Amino acid sequence: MKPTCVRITLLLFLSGFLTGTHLHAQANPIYQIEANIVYHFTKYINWPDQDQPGDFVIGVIGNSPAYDEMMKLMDTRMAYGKRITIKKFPANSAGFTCQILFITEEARACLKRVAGETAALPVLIVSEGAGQARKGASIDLALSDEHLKLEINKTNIERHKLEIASELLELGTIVN
Amino acid sequence: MITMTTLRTTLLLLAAGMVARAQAQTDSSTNRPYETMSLKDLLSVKIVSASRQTEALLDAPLSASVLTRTEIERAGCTSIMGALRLVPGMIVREETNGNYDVELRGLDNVPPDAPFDVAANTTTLVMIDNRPVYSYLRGGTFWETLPVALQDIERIEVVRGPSAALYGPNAVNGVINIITRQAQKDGLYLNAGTLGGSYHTYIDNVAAGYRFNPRWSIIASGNFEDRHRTQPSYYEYQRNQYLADPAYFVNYTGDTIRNVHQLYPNPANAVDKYAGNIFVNGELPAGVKFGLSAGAQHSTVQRVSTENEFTPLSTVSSHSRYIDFRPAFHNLSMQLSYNGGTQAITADSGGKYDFYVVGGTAEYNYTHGPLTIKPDISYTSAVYNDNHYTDTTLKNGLLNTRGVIESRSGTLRGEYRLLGSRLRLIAATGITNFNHPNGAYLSYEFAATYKLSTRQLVRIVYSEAPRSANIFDTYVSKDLGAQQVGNQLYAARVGQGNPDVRLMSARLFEIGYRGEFGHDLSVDLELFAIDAGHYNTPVQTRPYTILQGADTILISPLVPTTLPMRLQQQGVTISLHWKPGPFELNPFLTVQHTEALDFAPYANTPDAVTPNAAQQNIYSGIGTRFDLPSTPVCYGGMAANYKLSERLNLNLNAYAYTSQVYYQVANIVYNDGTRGIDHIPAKMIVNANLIFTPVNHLRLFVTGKNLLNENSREFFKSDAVPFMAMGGIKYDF
Repeated sequence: MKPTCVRITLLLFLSGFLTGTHLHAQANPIYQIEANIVYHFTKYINWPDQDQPGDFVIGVIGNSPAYDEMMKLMDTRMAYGKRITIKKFPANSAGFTCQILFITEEARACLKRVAGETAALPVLIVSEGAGQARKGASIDLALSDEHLKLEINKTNIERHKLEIASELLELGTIVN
Repeated sequence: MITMTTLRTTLLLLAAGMVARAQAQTDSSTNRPYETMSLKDLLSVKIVSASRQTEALLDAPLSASVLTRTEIERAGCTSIMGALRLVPGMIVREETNGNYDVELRGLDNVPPDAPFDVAANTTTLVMIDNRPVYSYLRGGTFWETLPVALQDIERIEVVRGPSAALYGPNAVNGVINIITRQAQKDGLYLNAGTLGGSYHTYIDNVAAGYRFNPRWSIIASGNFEDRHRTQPSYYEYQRNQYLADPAYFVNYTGDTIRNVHQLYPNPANAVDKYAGNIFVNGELPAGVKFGLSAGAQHSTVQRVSTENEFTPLSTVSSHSRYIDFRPAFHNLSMQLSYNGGTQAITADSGGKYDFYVVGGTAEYNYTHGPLTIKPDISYTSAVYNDNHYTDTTLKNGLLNTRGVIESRSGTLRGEYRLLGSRLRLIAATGITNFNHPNGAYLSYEFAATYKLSTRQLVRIVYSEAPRSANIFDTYVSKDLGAQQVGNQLYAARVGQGNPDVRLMSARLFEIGYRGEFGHDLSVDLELFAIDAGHYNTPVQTRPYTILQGADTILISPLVPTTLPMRLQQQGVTISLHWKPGPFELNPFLTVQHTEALDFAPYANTPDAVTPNAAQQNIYSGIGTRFDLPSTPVCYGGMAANYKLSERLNLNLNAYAYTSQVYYQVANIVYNDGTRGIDHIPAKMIVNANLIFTPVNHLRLFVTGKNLLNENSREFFKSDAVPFMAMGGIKYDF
C-alpha cells in the first residue's frame, strides 16, 4: 500500500463519516418512485365522496418498503385539501375505509377477495406487479424493461364509481 | 497532460469543497428528487444496479450502462459478446464466427510483443448474478464457457473503471455483470427459440419454469450453439501466409511440425457448445430468502487463445459445472459458489488441466440513523492441476504441477446524502490478502455526485484496483527444450513460475455528466484518465548451472517478470438516447489517447544470455513513450429502432472503430518487421433486424449482419468476418 493512497482513504472516509449527522440513508428508489406514483393518482382520479370530512386515506395491505416511503412522502402532502393518512390493513380486514388501497406484491393472493369486497366502494385498488389489473386491481405497477409501467383496468375503475382522467389513461396500458 | 498527482489533488479539493458546502446547506433543503417529478417523468426513470444496489440510471455514481433483454433482441444479437457492441466504451472484435476479443476502453495488447495469453484482456471482471467467472489460469474470461445464453438474461450491466472495492479483485478496468431472468408473473414460464444462418450457424434454446407465488419460482433452461468458421485457412507464422488444408504446420523455430488434425480435429468448427441451467428463487418462513443456480456446459471453439507457436488459432475445449447459492437474511446477504471442470487450451498435447474455483462472500447492511455502512468479507480459492495429463518428470505439460491462488478480502462501504439527496458521497475501500504474492493490496473507490437539477447530474470518481496473480505465472514449471553445446555440456530453456511477481493495477480519475431533456433526450458524458502499471510477461533471466551425473546443464530460465512499462490513457465517451415516439436512436462514441511509457521491445533482463543483453533488455525503454497502436483512437456505434406497428419492429445498428496495429510475440521471434505484426484496418459493421409478431408471444425475425460486407479481419491474423444472413423464431410466454 502506498502512503498517499492510505492518506486519501482516511481523509475521504473521515470527511464523509464525520459530516453525516443530518444525512439520509439511501432507500431503494423503486419504492420511492412507487410512492410518488401513488401520490400522483390523487390528481388524476375523481372520488365521488371527496367533499366528505376526514383525512384522505391510503390503505396498505402487506409488507413492502413502499409503505415506509409513503409514510415519509405523504407526511407533507395534501389531497383535495385534506391531510393524507397512511393506514395499514390486515389482509382479512372486515372493511377497507380508504380512498386508495395499495396491495403489495406479498399480499397479492388476497387481491381477488379484496376486489370483491370493495366492489361497491369508491376505492382505487393499486397493486404491485404485472398482470394484477386483469385480476381485480384498478391499476398495477409493473417493472418491465427497467422501468415502472402502469397497467390500467378502466372497467374496474368505473365499477368502483371513480372517474379517471384521460391524461392518466395515456400514460399507461389499458388492459380491460 | 493531466498527471495522476494533479488528479488526486483535484479530487481532494473537490471533495473537501463539496463537504464544506454540504455542511453549510444541509438544513436549507429537504426536497427529494422524485417528489418534484411529474408522473410521466417517474415512469421514464430507468432502474439499474450499477453500484451493487438498485437505483435510477440517472443517479448511478459510476460510469455505467445497462443493456436490456429487449434492446438485445431488437438488435438481433446472437451472443453475449456480440451484444456488448451496443454498449459505450466496449471494443469488441470478432476472431472467428461467434468468438470475440472483448475489451473495455481498450487497454489491450499490453505489453506489446507478448504472447496472446499475456496480452489478452485480463482486467475486466465478468460476472453472472455477481458470481465472478474469472479464469485464474492466466487471467481473463473463457467467454464460451458461460453456461447462460441470451435467452436466460434479463440485462447486462457494464461498469467502466476500476471497481475492485465494490466487486472484488480483478475488476481492474471494469465489470460486466450478467443478470439472469426471473419469472415475472405467477404460473407457467416458457420461452424457446431457434435460429439458423450463414456459415452453418445454428442456435437453439428452451426454458421452462413455474412461479408458484412471488416467493417461489423455478426455471430450467438449455442452450445449444453450432457455428462454422468463415474460411478454411489458418495463418502460419513460419511461412507468413494463410494455408488452406496444408499437409502440416511448422512452428516458430522451424524445428517442429504438426499434422493439421492434431492441432485442429475439426477445422470447420468455430463454436460447438451446449449448456443447461436451473434457477431457483425462494423464501423460507423465517424470512430467509435465497437464489440458487446450478448448471453445466460443454464447449469446443477455435479462437485466438493461447500461444501454440504454429498459428494464432487454437482449439479450446471445456467441460465445467457450477453451483451458486445466494442466501439473504434481513440485512445479511451471502454468496457461495463453485465452478470446476476440465479444460484444454489446445488440442495438441500438454494443454489440459483440471480446475475448480470456490468462493464465498458475506455482506452486512448496517443502518443506524443517518449512517449506512456495508462491511463485506470474501474468500476465493482457485486450484488448477495438470498432473493427471502430463509427465511430471519430462515436464511437458502446461504447468506440471498443482497451483493454488487464494485471496481474502475485507471491504467497507459507506454512503451519505446531503442537501436533500442532491449531493451524494460514496466511499469504498478494501484490503485483499493473496497467498501469492504474499501481502495486502489496497483497492478503493470514491465517488461524489451532485444533482444540478432533478434531471441533471455531475459526478467525479477516483479509484484504484489490482489484478490477482494467476496460476501460470506463479507456478509454471516447464521444460522448453535442450541442445548439446559441448562435450557433456547442454543448454536448456525452462519456464519457471514467479510467486512474487507484482500485481498489475490501474487507477482512474473521471468526471461525468448525465442529463435528461424533456421526455425524449438523455445525454451521458464521461471524461476519464487511467494510469495502469506493473504489467508482467515471461522474460529470459539470469542463467544458472546444474550438474546431472557427468553432464553440465546451463539453464536459461523464462520467468514472469514485472515490467517497468506503464500505460496512460485519457479519453471521452459520449452517448445519446433520443426517443421521439416510435423511433429510438442511441448513438455513442469514444475518443481516446493511449500511451505506453518505459516500454522496451525486449524479453530479457540485463543478465540474461541473449545478445547485447546489457544494452537491450526490459529496462532499456525507460524514459520513452509512444502512442499505443493496438488500441483504436476512436470507436463507437449506434442503435436505431423503429416500431413500424404493434406487430413489426425494425432495428438498424452499427459498430465501428479506427485502424489498429497488433504486435504479437512473433515480432520478437522473427524481428523481420512483418511476422508478428498485423495492421487491422478501420471498419464499420452495419446490421439490421426485422421482427414480426404474427400472434402474441410469437416472434419471427430476419437478421442481416455486416450488411456492407466489410470483409476484413478484426483481430490478429484471425478469420475474415463477412456478411451473414440469419433468421428464426422465438416464443416467449
